[in-house]
Order: sequence, then structure tokens, then C-alpha cells
Amino acid sequence: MAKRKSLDLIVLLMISVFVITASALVYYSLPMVSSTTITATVVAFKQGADWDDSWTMGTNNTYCSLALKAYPNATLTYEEPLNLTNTGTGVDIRLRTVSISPASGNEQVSNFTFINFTLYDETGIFKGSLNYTTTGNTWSTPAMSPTLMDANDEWYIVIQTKAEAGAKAGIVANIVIGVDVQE
Amino acid sequence: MNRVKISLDHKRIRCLIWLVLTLFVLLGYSLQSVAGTAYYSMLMQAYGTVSSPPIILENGTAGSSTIYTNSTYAKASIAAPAPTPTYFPNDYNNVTGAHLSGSVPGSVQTIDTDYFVVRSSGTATSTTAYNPSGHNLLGSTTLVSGTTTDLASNNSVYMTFGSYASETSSQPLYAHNESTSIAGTGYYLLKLGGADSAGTEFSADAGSTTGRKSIGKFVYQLTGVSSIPASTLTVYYRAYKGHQNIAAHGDVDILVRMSNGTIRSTIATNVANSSAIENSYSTVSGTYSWASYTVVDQTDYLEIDYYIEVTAVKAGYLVYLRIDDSNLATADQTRVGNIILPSQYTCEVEFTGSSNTETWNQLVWTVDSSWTVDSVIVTIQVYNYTLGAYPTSGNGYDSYISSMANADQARNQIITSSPIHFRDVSGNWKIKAKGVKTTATQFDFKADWVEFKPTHYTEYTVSTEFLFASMTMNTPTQLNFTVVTQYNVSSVNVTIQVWNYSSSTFVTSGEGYANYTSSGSNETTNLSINTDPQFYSSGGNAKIKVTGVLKTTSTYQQETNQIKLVYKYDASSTYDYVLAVTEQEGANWAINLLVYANSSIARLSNTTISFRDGTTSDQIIINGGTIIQSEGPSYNLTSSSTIYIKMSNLNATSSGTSCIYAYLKILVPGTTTYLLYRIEFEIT
Repeated sequence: MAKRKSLDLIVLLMISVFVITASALVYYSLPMVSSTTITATVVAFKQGADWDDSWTMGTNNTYCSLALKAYPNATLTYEEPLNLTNTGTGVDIRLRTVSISPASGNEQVSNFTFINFTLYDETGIFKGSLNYTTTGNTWSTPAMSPTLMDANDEWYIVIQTKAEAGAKAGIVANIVIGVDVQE
Repeated sequence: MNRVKISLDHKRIRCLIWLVLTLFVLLGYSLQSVAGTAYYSMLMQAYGTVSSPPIILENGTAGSSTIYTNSTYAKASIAAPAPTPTYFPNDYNNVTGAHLSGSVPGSVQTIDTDYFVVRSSGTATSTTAYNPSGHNLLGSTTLVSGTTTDLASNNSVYMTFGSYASETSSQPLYAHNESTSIAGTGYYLLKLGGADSAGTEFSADAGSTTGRKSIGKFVYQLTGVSSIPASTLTVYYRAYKGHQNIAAHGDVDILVRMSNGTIRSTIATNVANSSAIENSYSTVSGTYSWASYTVVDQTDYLEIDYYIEVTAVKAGYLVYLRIDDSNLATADQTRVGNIILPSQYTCEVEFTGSSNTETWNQLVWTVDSSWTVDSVIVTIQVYNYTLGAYPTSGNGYDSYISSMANADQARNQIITSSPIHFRDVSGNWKIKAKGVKTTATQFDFKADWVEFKPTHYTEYTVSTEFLFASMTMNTPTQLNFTVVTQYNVSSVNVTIQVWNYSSSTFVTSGEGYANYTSSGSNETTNLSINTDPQFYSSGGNAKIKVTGVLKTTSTYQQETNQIKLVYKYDASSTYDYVLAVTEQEGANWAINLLVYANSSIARLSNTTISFRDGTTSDQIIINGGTIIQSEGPSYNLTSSSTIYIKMSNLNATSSGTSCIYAYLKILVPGTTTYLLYRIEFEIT
């Protein structure tokens, strides 16, 4: 009788352990409390000294649209069309190609010699660039490594354009560049 | 029971502690990962549009300029005053003659002992034909007829030479039924060839008397035979007797008979007795030991008199000898075997003559001749005095096989390589003709025309073009050529000519032309071209030709000591309107010039590049070969206006080409946005 009880106890114990173990393997839950607050970005665009009134600066200065010119066989330089400001702590930023049209392979590409975007800090030190040059109907594929933008810095972007000698007036190149900010 | 509870509480507490620690670690790691990958991206959209240039560059009225596509790039060339440059040729071209020594410009810069030397070449010739004035008979060749005067023209009047036996061999002489007459007496012929007829039968009486019965006399003329060497002759008799009781054999007498019929020499009598003649035709023979005989006169005849000697008679019967029967094998024919006679004849003669002793550039020899037989192997050779022998190949040698008998053949050869090797210092020459043929028949060589025709130069010319290059391309106002030259002989007719690029010819009169007869050393000629001097240089190039011509039979040298060109041109120090800058967008701009590169500006003692439009704005300033102002001040270019780029204060210390590479910087007023146009300023 005593053996029987002992066996029952052991079986009950094993079932209990199994139930407990099985329950633990299916899931467990950790409590996490999150709250989302709408805040202003610390890095934003800012109109430069050469900002053209016809250009567009989006709400909160996180988007802008620039209408540039390119003259055949002459280099046009926009010294300070657009700035970047950092109102927060230091962050890594980079310029990144999002899209370009007409795409490589389109014969209109050959009308351009280059469209360069160069990033300088407020002391004029080069921080990075995206240079779009052409070889025939093909665009180059530039890239830029992240670079640290200190708190309260204001950098500026220099844009240079040049069209090929004999380029056809009215041909447009639309380049969308993302300014990636890593907090 | 209480102890158990307490014990369980302790375990739970430890588990809870581990659980809390684990949760902290996981939570901490989770938070860290979320913080590292958080970023956001702002978009910048740029539209680049190809636009027409708002300002264009245009040609000015001073200097020369090039405006490239879209009028946003220009090149302007102007000349700056500089000391008059002096040039020397840096290349040459031997129009006539061959360069011997010296170089350009090294040898023609200064008047010294270093000359540019060119040897003249022949440019006019004289040809004289010569014919033999003598001859030499070689070997045992004989003169048959004619003289060397017969060799002066191709007129079928011959100088004839007889060949001689140059080889002998054992040969048979066959008895033929053809005959010849010697001094009115008929004789049958002995020939080298076998029977050529149906045969002839001779007979003699064998019925009444015994003794030698003459059957026939045969002759062979000794033309071309100088001797008959010793040998054992075998005399064959094709004979038979009419009856078996007859006893007979053949024998011969051998003698040499002169052409007048008299006997020159009796060689042997009743020799070459044969075996007994049979009573049917058979060929029997006998031998005779022939001693060497020297022919006295080649018109003589070798005579073989055939006999049948009867030693037993039979009344009413004859003995017979058969000759010239082609139905018989040659071995059975009546003949004389193993007589040594010529088997090859040769004719060899050397013609001699004289000529001039000029420096020949060509020699043509001709021999027109024929042979009295065909297929003679002929060799014609012209004696090479340098070689000291008749050549056996190449120049001065010819070999051929003659064609038909008595058909003239003209053989000639043109010698242009060292033709003077074929005469001696006195002008003597000689040509040898030799003909050889394997034959038993003597033949003749008939020379109709032999000519030895040398050509020599009577005029020599040396003409050299001296080429100037890389000179200034400024339009010349005066060109002054100086030529200092001499010749190693006197009285050379010298012509100096400057090339006219307008007419593409060397001038033949007036400026740029000179002609004189040389008479001394380092003669100086100055050619000053003042009328249309721009015709005499092109693209920085010019050329002058110096030509010497002399009637002479030997070469000479042109020795040039100096070739110089002083190149004068006008160059203003101020060019007000080099380029125009025109606004065409209807806006106001601020412009200026800035240098981004340069080349060879050290020679520029002064240069100022300015904007001018009523007022002047100096943009680029060079002084003492150095740019002392590389960027000019801002200058207002108003809407739809044109201003000019001016170059002034120009001065160079030497000739050459300098370049200033600049940008025309066009600034949008009130901004820092600007355009850069390239402008090249070339200052020659």
C-alpha cells in the first residue's frame, strides 16, 4: 500500500513537472511599457544664402526640392544653396542616392557632364559628396560613408553642374537624395 | 512541516533572484539593440535642367580667335612684340646628290669649318660608240676573210674566222658512191656517216691474170684536221669471188693527195691485207699501223685506194667489192675503222679597241654574228681589267646556243655597275667570242658587228633643300635669308630659290631668287623678301633650295656653311577687341577673369588682360614673366550688353608661344552662385 502511494506520488509529481515545463516552453510574457511622442528631428534642412525663392522647402524642413541649371561646356557652381543643421546631439549622417532619372541607358543622360553634391562643415572642411558623372548614356553610382555631425553644427552643400558641349536645352535630370541621420 | 515550508521559501527566493537577473540581462540587450539601429532619412530632390547660356563669348576684331560650341569656350591668339627671331633649318632634302657629312642645324648656324657637304650627281650624259680596231686569233682559229672594218656596222659584211679541231676521237670513214673531182680526176668519197644508198658493186677480172686489181679510189678532205694521230687502222672489205677456184684478198694503198691532184705523201702501199675472200659476200678485214701524220695543208685529201689481189684465177670469173649499201649493217659495210679524226671544233677570237677614259656610268656592248653551222655553244666575254680576267658570269659575260646556220644573232648587255672596270686606264678594251661544237665538221664564225658603247656624265648637279620649321606663325613683314656656301671646284652655276607657298613653286626670279657662278670660298648670298613675304612662310615653315650645276665629267661637292632666316613681323602692344562678352538672358551679372593654368609665360615681360566698355578693368596682369594678378575684380555686365576683352602692354623677350588658361567667372548678383567659362589666351 505504501508502495502504491509512493508510485502515485511519483506519477503525480512527474505530471506536475511536465505541465509546468510544457507551459513554460509555449510562451512566456515580459511586460514592456512604451510611449511614443511626436518630436522635431534634430537634423534638418535649412535654406542657404543662395536659396532660390522658386525652390521648395517642406514642412519641418525634412524635405526640399531644388531646381538647378546646367550650362553646356560651362561649370555652374551653387556655393551655398542648402544647409544642414543639427539641433541635437552628435549624429552620423550621410547622403544616399534614392533615385535618378532618366536612368542609365537613356540617351538623354549623355547631355550631362556631371552633377555634384558636396558636403562641407561650417569651417569649409570636406565631409563627403555624391558626384554623378556620365560616361555616354550611363550615370556613375556614387555613395558616401556616414560622417559625424556634431551637436549644433550647420553644414552646407555645394552643388556643381555641367552639361556637355552641344547639350540640348530643356533636358532634365531628376535626382532624389536621402540624407540619412542615425541617432 | 514548518521546516519544509521554510525550506521551500528559500528555494523560491533563489529562483526569483535568478529570474529577475535574467530578465534584466534580456531587457538590457533588447534596449541596446533598438537604440543602435534607429535612424531617419530626409529627402532632397534636385532637378538639373540643361539651359541655354545666359552669356556668350564672341569673336573680337583683334588677333585671331576661335569660339567653340555653345559660345562658352574660346581661344584667342595674338602676337606680342619680341626681338626679331633668327631661324636655322632643322631638316634637309637632297633633291639631287648625296649627303656626305654635316648636320642641320649644327653645321649651318655659324660660319666656321663645319660644313654641310653634299656630293653632286650626274644629270647629263654623252655616249660614244666604238668598234674593234684589232683582233687576236686564239687557239688555232684562222682568219678566213674580212677585216675589223667589217665590224663597224650591222650590214651583213662579215669578218669570218675558221674553227679548229679541239677534240679528236676514233671514227670510221665509210666508202660512199658519191664522187668528187680532184684536178679533173674522179674519186669516190669517204664519209664519217654510214651508207646512204642501195649500194654499188665494183668488180675486177679474176679469170686471166693474177695480181692487184684496182677496185676504187676514195678520198676524205682534211679540212679542219691538223693531224691524224697514230692508230691501228682496220680496213673492211665487203667482197666475194665469182668462183670457188679463185683465190683473192683485199688490200689498200694509203696516200695524201694535194688539191691539185699531185701526191703529197705516200703513206703505205699494199697494206691491210685481208683474209681470203669467199665465194659469197662477206666482210673481211685487214689492219694497218698508222703512224702520226701532220697535215700540211687542210685542202689536202686522205686517199684510200682499194684493191683485190687475185692469187688464183678462174677463167671467165670476177671478184667483187660492194660499197654504200644501206641495207647492210654498218659493221658489214666497206670502211676504214679507228682512224683518229676531230670530234669537236672551236673558234675563238678576241676583238680589241680603244675608247675614252671618262667616268662611265653605263656601258653597252653588242656582238652581231652568225655561225656556219647551227647549235654552236657561244660565249661572249668583255675583259674586266679590275678582275684581271674575262668574267665567267654577270656583267661582261654572255652565253647562248646559236640558232640556224648563217642566221645573224645580236647579243648585247647593259652594264651600269662599275662599267669602267671594262677598260684600262688608257681606254683599251677587248671582247672575246668563242664557239664550240661537238662535230666532225669544221665551221666558221661570221662576225658582222661588234660595238663597245660607254656613256659618261657631262654635267653634274647638286641640289639641296633646307627646311625651316617651328617658326613663329606671325605674319612676316620681311624675310631675310642668308646663304653661305662654296664648292670644291670653281665655276659652278649656283641658283638659290625660296619656296613660294602661294604658288607652290620655287621662285625663278625677283626676290627670293639668286644666281651666280661660284668663284671662291664661303660666298655669301642675301635674299631679302619684302613683297608679300607672307607667301614664303606657312604654318611656321619655310624652305630654300641651293642648286649647283656644272658641265663636267666628274663629281664635285657642295659645302654649305650657313643657312639663316631672319623673320621680321609686326606685333602691336595693344589689342582692344580680342573677344566680346555678350549678355543675352536679360539679367545683370558680375564677371571677372581668373587664371587657372599657364605655360611658357617666362618670356612675357608684360601682358595685361582687361575688360573694356568705356571703362577698363584690369583682370590679369603679367610682369617680368610672372603673374602678379591672377584674378580680377568684379565687373558689372548689365542686361543685354556687350563688353570686350582687351590685351595690352604686350611685350616678349624672345620668340615663342605662351598660353594663359583662364576662367570667365560669371556671378549671379547677390548670390555666390557662379558660372565658369574657359578662355585660352595664346600669345605668340
